[in-house]
Formats: sequence, structure tokens, C-alpha cells
Amino acid sequence: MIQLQNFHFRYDRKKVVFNGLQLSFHPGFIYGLLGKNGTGKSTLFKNICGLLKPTNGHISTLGFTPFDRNPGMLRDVFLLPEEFHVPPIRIQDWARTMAPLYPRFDYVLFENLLKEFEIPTDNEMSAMSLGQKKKCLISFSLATNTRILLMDEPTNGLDILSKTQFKQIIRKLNLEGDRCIIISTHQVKDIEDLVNRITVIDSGNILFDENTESISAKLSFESGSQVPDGALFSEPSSRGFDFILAKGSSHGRQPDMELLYKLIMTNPAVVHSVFNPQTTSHERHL
Amino acid sequence: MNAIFDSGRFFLLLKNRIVENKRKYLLYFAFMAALAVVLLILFFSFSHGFLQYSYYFTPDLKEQIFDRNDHWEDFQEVAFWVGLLISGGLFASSAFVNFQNQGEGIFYINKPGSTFEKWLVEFTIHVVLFSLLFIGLFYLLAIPSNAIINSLAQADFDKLLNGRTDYLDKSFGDPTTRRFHPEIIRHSVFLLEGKEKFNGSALFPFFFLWTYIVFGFVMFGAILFNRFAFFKTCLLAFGLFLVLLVLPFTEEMIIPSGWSYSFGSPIAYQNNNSGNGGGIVRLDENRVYWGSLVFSILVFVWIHACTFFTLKNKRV
Repeated sequence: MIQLQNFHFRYDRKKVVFNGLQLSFHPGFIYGLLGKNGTGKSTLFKNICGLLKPTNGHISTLGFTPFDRNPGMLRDVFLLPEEFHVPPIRIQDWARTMAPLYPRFDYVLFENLLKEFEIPTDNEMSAMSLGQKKKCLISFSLATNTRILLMDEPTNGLDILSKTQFKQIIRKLNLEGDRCIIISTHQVKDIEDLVNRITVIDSGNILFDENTESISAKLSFESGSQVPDGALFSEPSSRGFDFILAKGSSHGRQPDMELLYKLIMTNPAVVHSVFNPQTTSHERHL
Repeated sequence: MNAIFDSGRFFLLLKNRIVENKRKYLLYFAFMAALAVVLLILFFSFSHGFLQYSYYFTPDLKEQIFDRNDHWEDFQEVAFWVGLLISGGLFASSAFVNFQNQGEGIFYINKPGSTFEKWLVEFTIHVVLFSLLFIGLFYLLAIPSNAIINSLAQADFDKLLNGRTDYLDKSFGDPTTRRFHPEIIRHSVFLLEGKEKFNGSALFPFFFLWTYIVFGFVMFGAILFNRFAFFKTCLLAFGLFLVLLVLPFTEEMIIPSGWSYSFGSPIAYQNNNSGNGGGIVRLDENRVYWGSLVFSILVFVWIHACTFFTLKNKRV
């Protein structure tokens, strides 16, 4: 669906963002793209949908070279940017002229989502609050039914209730086999139990790229008054300590994405050894 | 599905663009109409007062009156071209205003349409539709204005005839002074009736071509610069103007040594070499006209092609 091969990108000579990245995004997944601020998540999105051109290497989005901006690709890719602008017209007027550009647009879903977010369709878009604007655009982006939906920090600007609504809506989505959603965020809690694949980038490299099933199978997220020996990561919590152990134990909690993210960022080598034991043993021989 | 142009998609994009910006467009045209009305009122006040002055104090009324007659049509002509150039140039600067805001630019580039369709939408709105609306607005204001200024002139002329009966008798007897008849002072609407100044003129296509070249340049700047695009485009235009002014691209490059323009004319050359008698050579005016026209068309195509390719390679 999306393939990046030997992908290089830099804004100028000093600001190199990606240096030979290899990455694929597959249909049927909701990806959580995690990383610190300034690691290139938004830059990656912009390259995927053709707003920027790779300095070197190759990107393929739905079989197209994104920077060609082929309408066949654009009608099947929607980017919800972190910074956005809405025109000074009513939602229904805007949707009436934008929706026909997306052949799979679902008007019923759009209206239902707006209802769920409690936004009247006759609201003027530019007069709404930041959160309302964001909810309107989230509704529109989901209703486009594009094969690729890129959401850059979608929960920024949403209040607590709206974040919960957002999670519920995404969970309810019946993601057909040919679609994929990539949600980029640095607020890991917001996408917990929402995504089914986690990709972590740092300094232009992929630190982690695994399914949640694989994470559950290989890691155990537990709490206790003491940290057991062999814990891969631990931190104090209201329960005493939260920690991660290798190999799932029967009484482990649901994967704690924030804890996992901290483990990946602080000790990527350990994570690598858990998820890629063969490579690690080979590296040891070397 | 055609990846370069699809009429259905083009009209969807055009409709979307107009709906999204309708308030801005309406405000702009309202402002333009208000400005035109103010200018017309000022002109009426000025011209009426001037005619009164000529009636009381100017001895040679004939020339004065015919000057007045020309003034109004000249004013219309100047108002048309200057109005088209300035208001159109300002309007063209809003063509790719999306790029001044990153979020807006992202939505604009990601709209499902080809770059050519997006460029054509802006060209259609800011060049084609704008020109049609401008001409419509011009008629809308020029026709009633013409009626008003004709009635003002008629009233002044009536007063003139009443006050100078001695002059009237004499002028009716002489065919050369029949121009004093009130019918002759009636002004025409420049676009409708001033054929010798508008579509009958040899300069007519040049005015349009170079106006649209300016529009294209402004649109090019709006894509090229992310912030303060119009200001930077004006600076760039000024810079280009200076370069063209400083570059010795005229005489030294075109005219052979020993020759110069004859009295500054670009189509007549003076041989300054005393051995050849210093003769004057005139170029074929027809060839010069068509050559200039082809050159202007090429510049027009080139500047709009630059706009298209800058849009195609625009990074957001």
C-alpha cells in the first residue's frame, strides 16, 4: 500500500530528517506512528501524500509516485494535518462541494459522525472553536473512505470527552481489507487500545514496527509493589510499580503503549533482542 | 480516468473553489464597484465645474467643448485599462493565497485533481471570469454614467446657447462649426461605441495580452513566495524592471554600429555614418506589428507556463 525504499529526505544540508529509511504500511491496519517532536512524523506524511519530494530513494503510495500528485492517488488518500485551515462557509456547503471529489464519500456516515460530535451542519466552519473544527475535519476525513487516511496528531485540541468519542468512533470503524489508517501522535495514551500496529521512529530511523498481537505475545505489562528481576522497564505508579516483562504471563494487563514507548525510547536494543532474537544472536556471533 | 484533465473533475474543483471563497470574491467586487462609483462622482464634479468655467471665461469655446467631449471618452478608456490592470492584478494575487497558510496549502494540494486542473481553475477565476465580470461592471457603471454626463453637458450647452445667441447664429451658418450642435457633444460609451479606441485599435490585443502577462506574473509570485507574496512580487517586478533598464539590450545589441533610432522611434533607424549620407531606414510596420504580437503571445504563454510548473513543483 505504501512503500518507502532507501528513503532520504532533508530540508537543507544541515537538517537531514531521513537517511535511507525502509518502511511499509499494509492494508487492514490502524497504525500508531509514534515519535518525539521533530522526529519527522509529519514530514513522512507529507512525503507519502505528495506534498514534499524525497531527496533520494523511492516512495510508492497505492502504486503511484506521490509527488506526481496523480488524481487517482489523491482521491484515495486523505491527510488530516496538525495545522489546518477551514473556509468561512457552512459545513454543509463545504461538504457539498468537497465530497464529490472523493468517490467513496459516505454522506450518512459524515452526518452521523457530526451528530456524535454534537456539531450542527449549518455551523459556519471558521466561526467554530479549534476543537469543533478538528471534530468536523475528523468526521469528514473518516467519511471520505479513502484507502489511506493519515491523521497527524488528531487528538490535539480535543477535550477529554471528545478524545473518548474519537476513540469510540475509530474503534467502531469497519476497516475494509484495502484500507489503512495511520495516526501519528506523541500522546501515546490517546491511541492506546485503538491501533493494531505500532511504528516508532526516532532520528529518521525505525526503532520499532510490530503488531499489537505480537506485542501481547512477547511482552507482559504488569504492576506490583516490587519490580521483579528481569523486568525490561519499570516506573513508579499509584499501584507501586508498572513494569514490562519479556514473554507474556497469564495475568498481564492490556499492552500499555506509554510504558512500551518509554522502553523503546530508553532501551531500543533490548526491545530489538526480544522481537528479533535471531538477528541478535547473529549479531552476537559477529 | 484522465490524469491530466477531466472536465467533470475540473468543474467540481471550480465550484469548490468559488464556494469556498465566495465571500472574499463578493467583498472584492463590492469594493471595486464602490471605488468606481467614487471615481465617477469625482469626475462628474470636476468635469461639470470645468465646463462652467469655460462658458464664462474662455474666449475660444469651440476647442474647449471638443476637449471636454474627448475627456470623458478618454477617461473611460483610461479607467477601463488601469482599472483592469490594477484591480485584476490585486485579485490575481489572491489566486494561490492558500500557500500563505500551511494548513490551507496542504488541503489545496491534496484536493483530488491534477495540477493542470488546479492551475486552470485559478486561471479561469482570476483571468477569464474576472475579465468578464470587470467588463460587465464597467458597462453597468458606464451606461448610466454616460447618460448622466450627457444630460449635464446638454444642460450646460443649453445655457451656452442661450447666453451666446450671437455666436449661435454664426455657427449654424458655417458647416465647419456644426460641431457645436448639442447632438455632437453627446458622449459615447467607450466599449460600445468608441470603436476607434477599443476593438478597432491596432493596440487592442496588446493591452489585453500585457495585462494578462501582469496577472500571470502576480500569480507566479503568489505560488513562489509563502509569506508577503504580493509585496515580494512587486519587489521582484521592480528588480526586473531595473535589470531591463540597466541592461544595454536595446541599441548596442540590436542596432549595428554607426546606426541609431531615428528620433527615438523603434521602427526607424538613422545611419550616422557620414559616408553613407546618414539615410533613414524604416522597418515594415506590418512586420513589426505582427512580430510584436507574436512576441507578446509568447511572453503570455511563457509566464503562465512558469506559473503552472511552479505550482507543479510546489512543496508545502
